[in-house]
Amino acid sequence: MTRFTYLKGDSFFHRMDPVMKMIWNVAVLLAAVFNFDPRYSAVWFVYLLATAMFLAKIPFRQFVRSLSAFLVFAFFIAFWKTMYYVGEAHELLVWGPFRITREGMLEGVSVFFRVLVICSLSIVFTLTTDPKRMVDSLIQLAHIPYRIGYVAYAMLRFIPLYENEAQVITNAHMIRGVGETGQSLKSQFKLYSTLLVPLLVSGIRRAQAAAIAMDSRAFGAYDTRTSIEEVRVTRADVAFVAVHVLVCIAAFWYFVWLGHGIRYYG
Amino acid sequence: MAEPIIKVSGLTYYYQNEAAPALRDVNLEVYPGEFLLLIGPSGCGKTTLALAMNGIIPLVMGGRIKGRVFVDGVDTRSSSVYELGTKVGIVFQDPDSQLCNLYVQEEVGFGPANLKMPRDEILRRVDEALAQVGESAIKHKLIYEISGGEKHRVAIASILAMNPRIIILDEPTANLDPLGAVEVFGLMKRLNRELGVTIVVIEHNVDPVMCHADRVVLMENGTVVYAGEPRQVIQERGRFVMDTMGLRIPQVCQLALALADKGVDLEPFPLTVAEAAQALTSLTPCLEFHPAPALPDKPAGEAVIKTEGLSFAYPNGTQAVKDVSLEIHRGDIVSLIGQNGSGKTTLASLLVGLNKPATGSGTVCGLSLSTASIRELTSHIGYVFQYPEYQFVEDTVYKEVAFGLQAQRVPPAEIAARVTKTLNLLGVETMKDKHPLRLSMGQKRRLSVATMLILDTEILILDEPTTGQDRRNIDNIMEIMCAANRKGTTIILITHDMNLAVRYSTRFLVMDQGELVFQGSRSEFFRQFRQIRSSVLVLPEIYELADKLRENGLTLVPQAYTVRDFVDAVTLCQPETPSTGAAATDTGGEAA
Repeated sequence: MTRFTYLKGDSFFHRMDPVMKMIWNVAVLLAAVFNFDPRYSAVWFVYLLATAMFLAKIPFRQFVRSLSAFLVFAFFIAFWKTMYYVGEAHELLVWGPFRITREGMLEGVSVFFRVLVICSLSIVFTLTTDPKRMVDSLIQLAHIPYRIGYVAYAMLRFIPLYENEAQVITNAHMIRGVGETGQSLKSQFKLYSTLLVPLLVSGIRRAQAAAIAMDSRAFGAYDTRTSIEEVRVTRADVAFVAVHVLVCIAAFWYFVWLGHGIRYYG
Repeated sequence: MAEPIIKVSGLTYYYQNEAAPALRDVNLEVYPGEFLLLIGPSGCGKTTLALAMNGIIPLVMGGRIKGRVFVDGVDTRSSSVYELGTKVGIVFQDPDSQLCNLYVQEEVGFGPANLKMPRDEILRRVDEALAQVGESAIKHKLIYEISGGEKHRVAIASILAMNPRIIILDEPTANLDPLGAVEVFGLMKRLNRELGVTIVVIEHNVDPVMCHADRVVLMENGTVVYAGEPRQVIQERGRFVMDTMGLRIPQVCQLALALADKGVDLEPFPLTVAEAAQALTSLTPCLEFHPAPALPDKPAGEAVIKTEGLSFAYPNGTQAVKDVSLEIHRGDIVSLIGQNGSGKTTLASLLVGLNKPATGSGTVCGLSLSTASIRELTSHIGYVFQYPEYQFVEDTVYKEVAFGLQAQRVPPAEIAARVTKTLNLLGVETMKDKHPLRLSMGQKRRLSVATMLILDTEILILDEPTTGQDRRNIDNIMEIMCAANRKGTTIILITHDMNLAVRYSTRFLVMDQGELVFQGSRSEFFRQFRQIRSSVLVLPEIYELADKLRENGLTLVPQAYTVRDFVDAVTLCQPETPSTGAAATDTGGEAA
């Protein structure tokens, strides 16, 4: 769980407004994919690593732990690219069905770093963003209706409850001998279907109770409601995000518009 | 008298798609500044009436309605839920479902924010409301980090922040331990006295609240059957409330009624221990106490459960059970008590094999807790969960009861015979083709007991058997438990209902913060009571009364654990006033 959930902390990134952070995320993501040069992707990855360390103050070990979940995927896709490069290329080694080429290798490395860039972005975002602030910011800055925002709240609030409840019900059933009768498909199916009914019943009851409790406290009385915590976008946030948006535009202009970037190795 | 702040007149209500009315011709007036206690059996319409008082019924829930409800002179049907929400606040039973925000501050400010109040005003109200409930320190915490008691107080604060003139509490103590319950009612009384807030409490556990109430309202079958001052209601209708409606009344009230049957009238009719002590002390010249010889503690049988230094921690690091060494003997009824979160349920989970001890060792009927599987352990020890719904796995009552035997591969003919016998024993035989989830609360509870009872295990654990149950349901369950116990089954009650524990159990285990802080017989428990470290222990009223009388110089007053103990020990030597019921009639009616 803790690999990809919000970690309380105090850093530039923790303080940054979530919607601004999203814009930063998109800007970096786009800027990083406008050029296929592996060195270019690697630079972005190193830059994000430094951002995670210094601007988001994520402990290195934590960052690696979160990233490691994607490493297998990154390696696999890089390996695939290296092995199965289509087109004319400088062959380095041919052995049976395997054909390692210089271009394939460069492309593999590039893809590898791109995957890491995308993962690093989402890790930095999720580890430094309080979901509640994100919903607040979406309501106040992006003008998402607060009723929709509360759907997100309700999910964040009730998911841990359901997890806990599912555990208790599973325990209750194990004591009755469900699931111990065999490992057959039939008994496994029984295990899940018997878990689902009480979980649904209590889920519906809980949702009803929550709705009544919310109505009793005037939820939905007006089209807007007071936000207890005001979303603050600081100048530093704006400046930081603006720089990255500009870099993104520049990268597009230089690598795509003028065509100086490497699209693929041919 | 002033104009009523709530006036219910001729209210009949049917929930959507229901043929039977939930409320039938209810008439009730609530006056400003009143403290009202609303009692009635499970399913009699108390909660429905509460929802009608703040307009959720019929404005949100729909359904068919006849009659009128006026709040502050305004018909709820021509008002809006939002408007009514500022006048009538309801604190619901389950704190987890009514808290819908992530942080405490947001939760408490939720109502005012919905009403578009200015931010400064909201923050001021949040601080004030949290201070009222004594939880200012947790303002910036996440809701799912805080304890059950804290959640409950946050739920109350979130209502206080709306500044309502009327607060309705629906079974506020169902999920609280005894001290928590006393605190909640103390807070309500303060709001009532100091701020003139009108309070309506719906409650089964009446002991801590009866003395605060200005009026008691009795409900049955969807209608109000009686209302009056607490003394008057209990004096005139106490027997009816206990025997016919199947509800609890405070122990001192039971005592006063039982003594009245013996010709001893307590004046004025007591609602609290102090009043009872005073009334009894003033009667002393004509009262004689003949303490029954103290029953020797039941000799200990062989140990069926034995643990040595048992410890367990959850993956998140919570050390739930610390170094517990205990012994439970065959044929005992043992109460395992302690406040919420003290490790009672975790200890039970170790005994049935749901969790494995981290360190230490233990045996259940000779099986090692560290190595035996759940299946092996549960063939000796049955476990009835707190919420019966969780344990149901089949779609009819009959199959539900048969399930455990089928898993044990018992021959079908024998299964049929045993299931029928068990269903009869528990009084659910007419329901055998119904879906378990369609039963009433009491029936579900009995069914969950039946599913365990049929397996004839040597040990049976009951987790919080009294939560949200009326007295009749509790008595039913306990009768069945006692019958099983007489046949040799060892019973472990996990509870914080002290009256229940004291009435039924022969031995006590007390847990506090994961440690076992006491184990011993009932008499040892009371002797050492004040030394035991646990905040959950609240003495039964009757025991406190006997204590108080001894302090008042009545040295002959025996130790009394139950109302019957006390009544049996008292005789009247010179009746002051001629009494009609002098012949000692039934003195039963002891509430759990």
